Parts: sequence; structure tokens; C-alpha cells
Amino acid sequence: MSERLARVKAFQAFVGAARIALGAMFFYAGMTKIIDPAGFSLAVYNYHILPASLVNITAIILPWVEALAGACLVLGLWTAGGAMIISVLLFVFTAALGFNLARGLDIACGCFSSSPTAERITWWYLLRDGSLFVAAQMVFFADQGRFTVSAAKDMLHKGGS
Amino acid sequence: MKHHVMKGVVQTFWIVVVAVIAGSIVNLVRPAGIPFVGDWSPRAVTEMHAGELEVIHVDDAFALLSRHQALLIDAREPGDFMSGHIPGSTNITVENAAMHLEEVRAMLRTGKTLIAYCYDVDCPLAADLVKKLRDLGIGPVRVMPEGWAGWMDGGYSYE
Repeated sequence: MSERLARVKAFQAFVGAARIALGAMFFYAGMTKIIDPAGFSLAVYNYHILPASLVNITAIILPWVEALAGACLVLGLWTAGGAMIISVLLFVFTAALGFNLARGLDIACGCFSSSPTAERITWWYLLRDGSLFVAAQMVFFADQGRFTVSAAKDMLHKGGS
Repeated sequence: MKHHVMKGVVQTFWIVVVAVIAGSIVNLVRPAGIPFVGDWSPRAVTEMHAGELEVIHVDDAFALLSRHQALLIDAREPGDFMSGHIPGSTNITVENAAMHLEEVRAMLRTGKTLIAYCYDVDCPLAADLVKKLRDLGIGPVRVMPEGWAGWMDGGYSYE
């Protein structure tokens, strides 16, 4: 195997691993909010960005979008859609965080827990979401389907034939 | 590239459709489901934070205070307390409540109405403090839901 090919393969493996890690993170984040809709609705309300009439519907649907997009990335199914959703969500989350940090609101992040007494928002979260956004972009543009369900099927198929 | 982006858009659409359907159905059938449109009026938020606690609104609190019949507890962060608070109030946060138990007992012994407040209607800290004191057997302390913001909006004096 040429050195160049080895490097491409290593990069593809890295992107595949990043895809699974990012997906697992979003799946987990979604599930923690699905478990406690009342708590998450309060977290959404406390951001003071959405009109009151949209708070609950966001708290009901958004965690499912996160969890499903995360599951897509973990399984490697509909990777383009999953990565696109996660990119958009991270962009929106970063904007909402930055906006509230700038106006000095002391609120719970509502990121990996829906409890209003959980982690407070800090500038560190902005950096974290920004880095994750870059990772999501990389997955969207560079993922070649390593470590996916269909890749596993192919391998089984080849092994069996 | 264009094809890849289009594929992403179509998949995004379907993932969102599934999320909307799944989220709505699960919310409808589960016992912990919430209304699709919530009541986030100041009254509902107060009810959520203070619940069964006794509430006293800002105008009544001012009336009591001006007749020297009330003592106020400021549950905000010490830095915010330092930069301005309701006259005569004592700064006790949820975190340091345990260090002020005797002080609160002494305040109760005066026979005056004890009133806790924090930042504004959305702030749960005053209610949290009152619940913590209640769990330690100390009370009653009322909650003023409008908080410091409501006091300032009312144009009342501060120090």
C-alpha cells in the first residue's frame, strides 16, 4: 500500500471515528432531554429567545431531532442529513449561548441535562460548540462511510462468499 | 458536491418529520407529557417556582415594609446584593443558608413577616431558599415573586 493511500485510509478512519463520537454525543444529549420534558421546557424558556408559545413545542421536538440525527451518525445511515442537522443545531446553539453570555444572563446550559440547577453557561461552552461545529462539517464533507452498518454488512457478505 | 448537499437537505427533511411525529406521539401518550403550548405567564412561572409556598406581591411587601412589619431576605449573589438591595434586607443565598439559621430564627422571633426575593419572576432562588429553610423546620418565610426587578419597576427606594 502506498504511503499516500495509507494516509487517506487513516484520515477516513479518523472521520468515521469523529462521526460516531459526535453522533453518540448528540444521541445522549437528546435522550437526557426526552426523559424530562418539563425540565427542558424551563431551560428553553430561561434562554429568553423564543416566544412563550413556541417554548413547549421546541422542548418536545428538538430533543428528538438531536437524538435521531445522533443515531444516524452513529449507525452511518443518512450521514449527510444527520451531519447537516447537527451543524445547524450547533450553529443555533452557539448563537443562543453567545447572545445570552453577551447580555450576562446566568442560566443553565440545558445542553446535557435539563435541570435548571445544572451547569451554568460560560464562554467555554461557546468554544466547545464551535469545535463540534467544525467536526460536524468535516463529517458532512469528508465521511466515506467507514464503520457504518452498510460497511459492516459488506464485510460480512465478503467474508461469507 | 451539489448532489451531496441536496441529499443532505432531503434527509434532513425526513429526519425532522420523523422527530416531529415521534416527539408528538410520545408526548401525547406519556404521563410526563407537557402541553404543546405552555403557559409562561408571570403567574404560571411563579406558581411553578413557589408552588405551595406563601407568596406576597411587591406592592403588599412595600406596604408592610413601610409600616416596619416586614423583614426581607435577599437570595441573590452577594455581589448583586452589594450593588443595591431593598432597605434593611439580609443577604442569604441557598448555598450559605445553613450558616444563617440562627439569624433567620431571630428574625422570625420579632413577629414580623419574613419575605424572600431574588432577581425577577423567572428566578427560582428565593423559592428554593424558602423551601430549604422549611425543610430545616424554619418558617414561615414568604416569597416575593417579582424580585429585585419588580421592586425597581415599582419605583420603590433601595440602598
